[in-house]
Amino acid sequence: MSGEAVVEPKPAVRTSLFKRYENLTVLSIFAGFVLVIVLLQLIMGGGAKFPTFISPVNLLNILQQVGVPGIVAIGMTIVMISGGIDLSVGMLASLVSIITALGISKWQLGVVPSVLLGIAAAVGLETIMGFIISRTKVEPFIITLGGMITFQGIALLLCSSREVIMNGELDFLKANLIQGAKDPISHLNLIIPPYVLIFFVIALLGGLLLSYTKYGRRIYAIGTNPQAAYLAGIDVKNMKLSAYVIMGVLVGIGAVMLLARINTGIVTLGQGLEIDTIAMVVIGGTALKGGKGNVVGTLIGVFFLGSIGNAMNMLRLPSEVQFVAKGLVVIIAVSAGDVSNRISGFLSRRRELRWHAEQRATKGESVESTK
Amino acid sequence: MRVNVRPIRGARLACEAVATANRERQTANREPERLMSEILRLRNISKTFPGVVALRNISFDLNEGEIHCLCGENGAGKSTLIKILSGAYQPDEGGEIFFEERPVVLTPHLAMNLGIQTIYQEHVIFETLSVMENIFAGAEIVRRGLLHKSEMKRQTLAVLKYLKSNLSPDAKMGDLSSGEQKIVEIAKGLVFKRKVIILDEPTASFSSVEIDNLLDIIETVKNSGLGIIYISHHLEEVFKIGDRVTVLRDGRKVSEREIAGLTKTALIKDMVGRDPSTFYQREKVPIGEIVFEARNVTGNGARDISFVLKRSEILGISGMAGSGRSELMNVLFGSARLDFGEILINGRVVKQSDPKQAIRNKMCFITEDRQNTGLLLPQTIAQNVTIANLVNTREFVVRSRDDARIGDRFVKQLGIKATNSQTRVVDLSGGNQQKVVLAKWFNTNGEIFIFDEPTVGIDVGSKQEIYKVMVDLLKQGKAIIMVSSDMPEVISMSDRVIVMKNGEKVAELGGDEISEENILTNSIGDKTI
Amino acid sequence: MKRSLKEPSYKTIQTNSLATVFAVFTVLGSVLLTSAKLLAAEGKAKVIGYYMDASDDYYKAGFQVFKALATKAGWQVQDVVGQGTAPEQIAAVENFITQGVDALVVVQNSPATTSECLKKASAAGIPEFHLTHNPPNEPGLAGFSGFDWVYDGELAGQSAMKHNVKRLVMIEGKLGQGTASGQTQGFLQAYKKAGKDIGQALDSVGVKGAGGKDLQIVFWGSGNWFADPAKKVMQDAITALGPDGFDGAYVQNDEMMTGALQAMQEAGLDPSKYWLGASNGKEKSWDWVAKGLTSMDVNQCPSLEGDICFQQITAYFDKKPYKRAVFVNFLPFEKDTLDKSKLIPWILNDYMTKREANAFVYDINNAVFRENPSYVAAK
Repeated sequence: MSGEAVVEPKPAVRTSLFKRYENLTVLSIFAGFVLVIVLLQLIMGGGAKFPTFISPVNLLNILQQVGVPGIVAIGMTIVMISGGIDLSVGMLASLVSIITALGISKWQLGVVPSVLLGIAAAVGLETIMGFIISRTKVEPFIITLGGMITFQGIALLLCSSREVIMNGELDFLKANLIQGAKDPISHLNLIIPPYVLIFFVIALLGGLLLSYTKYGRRIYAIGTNPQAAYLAGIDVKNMKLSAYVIMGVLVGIGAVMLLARINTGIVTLGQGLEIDTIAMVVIGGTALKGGKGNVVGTLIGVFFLGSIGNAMNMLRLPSEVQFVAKGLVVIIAVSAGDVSNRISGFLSRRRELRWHAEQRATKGESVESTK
Repeated sequence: MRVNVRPIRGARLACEAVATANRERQTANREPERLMSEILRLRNISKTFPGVVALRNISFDLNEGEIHCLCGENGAGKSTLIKILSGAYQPDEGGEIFFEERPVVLTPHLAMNLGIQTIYQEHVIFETLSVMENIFAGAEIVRRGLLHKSEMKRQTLAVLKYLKSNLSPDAKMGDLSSGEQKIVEIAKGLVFKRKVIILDEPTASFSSVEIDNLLDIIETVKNSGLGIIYISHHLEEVFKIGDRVTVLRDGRKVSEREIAGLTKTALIKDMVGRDPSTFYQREKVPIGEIVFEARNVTGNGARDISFVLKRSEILGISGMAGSGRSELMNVLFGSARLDFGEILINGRVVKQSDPKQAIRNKMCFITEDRQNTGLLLPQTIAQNVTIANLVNTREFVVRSRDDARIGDRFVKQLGIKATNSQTRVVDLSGGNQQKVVLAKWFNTNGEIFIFDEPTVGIDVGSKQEIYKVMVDLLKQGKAIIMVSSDMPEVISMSDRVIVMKNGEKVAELGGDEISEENILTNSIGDKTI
Repeated sequence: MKRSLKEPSYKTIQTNSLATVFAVFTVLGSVLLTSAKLLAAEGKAKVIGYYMDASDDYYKAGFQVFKALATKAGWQVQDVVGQGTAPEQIAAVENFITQGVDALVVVQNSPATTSECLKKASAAGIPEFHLTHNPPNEPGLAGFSGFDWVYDGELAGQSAMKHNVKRLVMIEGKLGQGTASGQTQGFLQAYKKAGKDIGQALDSVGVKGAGGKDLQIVFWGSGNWFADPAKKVMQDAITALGPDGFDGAYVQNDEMMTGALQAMQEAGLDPSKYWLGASNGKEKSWDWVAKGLTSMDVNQCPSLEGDICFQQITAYFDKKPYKRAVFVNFLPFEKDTLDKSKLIPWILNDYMTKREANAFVYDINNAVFRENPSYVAAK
């Protein structure tokens, strides 16, 4: 083209590079964390007692505890990659649980219709918020904050501020799929309920959606640079809306799962869910401003956050100290990731520039000025 | 009239300034001949960036009480010169700057302290604060730890009165018109007793009333002893208030003249006059039938634009900054609203209300600002190249393997300097980034290309590569609309040229009519030449 | 091509070194934190897992007494405090079970949640004891000590009747735990038992204006057991009703009464002109009643709950019989019946001192600690 020998491009690697290495940082930190807890437990037990933190029953416990937040976290990942955020998921989950519980126990609608009603409510409400967010310039933070407060109000209205008790109609969702299995060390029952499997299926679908479809590409594009995406022919408005619709579906499903787990439709059911899921997603490497992140990272974040609380418990720290420790670990996890990425980025860029300089030097290229 | 060279910090009494100015003016009027002392002198100033020489051996000086105008096309080097004067850039070795006849090495901090104030085209103001707060931003008057509002207000009123402006110190900056905002910025210069005020294209998007207002104020300000550098391509203004005018072209100083006795013709002749034989020689391609037509297109600032575009043709769109060219392109591509008029592709009227439809209609838009609107910087070459074609493909599933292959193909075809298509675009140089943008649009198999400033900020070698690419497109039967402020580029590449001014089409030139002089005359002057 | 896929290894080194740094930091930090615990190595000492629904000084008071007594007995107590949500209770219980504690003590979030927990605890063979809020009577529940909330409400109702309260502002505690509803029910029942006309109030709990000739609930609200929300409810009531719109208020605990009193005083009302009844019987309420700010209170000391629970667990470990569900004794008082020396303190040191001196009855086997009839042994 330009006279000098064109450098033949090296054939690109099979899978997308960015997915393979982006999550390495948080994974290492998580591994380090687990190692530390195990060490501490060994020390505390005098070397005799098996560190219960990594015993099968505890690992399954953690799975059960993060199963539902995990489902919502997948939705949050998509929303945040697209450049948005959703603070209403907690109260929306509470609202869904109350609607479903009322449907089953008070309105006598039957289990399946009640569940569908709850999920439909979540989708409808998220669509409304998504509509406002995509069509106006108002910050998603504010809109979803307003949603959070509104949903809480609606929930309280529906249940007259009292809890809605069910009779275990949804127990099939937490039936033990490995009935009879026992933990080898403590002989406690091992439980894998269906909702954990549903979580994994959703995670898989979410991951495939983001990495292997046109839809996923567009989500990343609008989160990276909405203007450029628009000019490249992407329907930015409706893509943003779709992210919230998906979130609605997942919150609906998650709320029903949680309802099964605690058997009561109650306003505090989803309290704090938004903070937890956002923390999980951010720890997993998704940026608050959008365009970056993936499901694998979120999964790591989900397990990481879930195990922090669990570990503090296992270490027998006093409750006040537990709060402090939990906060510190989250801060370290998020900032260590950022610092490490910056260092790596800087180093790799320097290598690129040096490589280019060498290329130029060997090819005898020079900057020409014609005038 | 000697003035001290002590660096000035913080605010001074505007009253003092006004009083001194008045006194000085009276002294000046009493004297038959004004002793103008020199404030600034630049000698032997050059500035080189990687691949581009922005300024070459410039000499320039400014006296007290003088308005020295600076003219030149876009890219002539005016902004670079201003940045050197404000201390943002350092001149190359051998360049010297003298302030009040003493050599200095300017930094932004020092420039401010010496009293050099630059008022840029893009407003650096605080929209939600008041006039008074804007003036004193960063240099508030404080008494015993608290803001001394009454004092600041008094000084503001004094200086506004001096400028014969009836603005209120409490008016919110965001509510003022552009003209009034500029006046406030000038007021700032007076309050803090600046010595030099540099105005960069101050009247862009002003009404004629505001222009007159501003010019009056500048004259007033000049009388208080400041030196003013006034950059503009509006020759009427230059002739109205200027004392001297310097013309820059391609980084060189072409001339410096006294306004008294100068004609517009002479000035324009200074601004043009390149040797056409040094221009890029483009390969000619036989031109085909009409593929695109705009009829009375109005919207987004453009008014009643009509033209046709033929196959294998490059239609150049020229005009000064602010003439509405990019705005027009956005309307044609569907990213801005078409208020009135029609767009026809291959003889059929098309309704394009968003870029998605434009892309489906086989249009491509290489935007002016590739970093902000043309690229997804953190993503890879492969991802950027395939993003615009999603509209045209049917499959839901996307394999990064396929994208990589497409990306690699274009890396090779366009000679993009990267290992492979997995490099992040943010790590590429300007020229290579532009090639990625091109690849993205080639990948959509478009027929009608809009190039908005295709080679801005790109080194010479890459420029020619891009020209070759454009000619290749023509050979494939595509058509190109090219917006450009680079005069040689417009002249050498275009088959026809449309000149825009103030949102309207003022001229259409073809064949031999395409010359620097014709284009420039239509862009800036009135037609009385 | 020199630049190959060496990039990742750089990153790996980077991240791993960072992880190591992080690990080192955590080890150091944790070692410091747990150094105290390291001394008390895990041996044959009993370990108790103690979960509290929320950060409430009521629960904390009980916990402190329990812990003091437990430590004297050589037990280890591990506490977890939630933020008032059901999933946290389940998670805490799950984690305690995994750790292998010898007994669980739970202040629950809701009965349905406890139901889930009891299933897990009984499957693991760990006894679960409850405090304060009424758990469901299901297998796995090894003991419960709490106050007879209904009776608590009745005492307040009786006092209100004595003072001719016909129009009442009802400020309830946190809904859904069974406690607040118990107190409300008791209050209304007192009127009904005395033959007063209260209309449909018992069935229309929460409905403003419900009631009959002799008692009408002119305002309902929940203060969630905390002062600030209760203050807001009281302010709204005063605004809606005016100073002459009500005869008195039943504010179901002392913290909420603090907020309600503030609201009244800020609005310029004189609390002593109204009937004001509360429950808890904290030290500050002794002063309120003595000064006439409030009309009555009930000394229901959570420290005693913790004490009783400790005795239940001790008996369980010693395999001795014990009262499974206990109504902890409480002492109502008004201005004329106030006797500070007989009242049970909330503050730990005062409590322990008075306990040593046998200034009040604390032995679970004493008759004042009635068996809770709702909890006929299910197992």
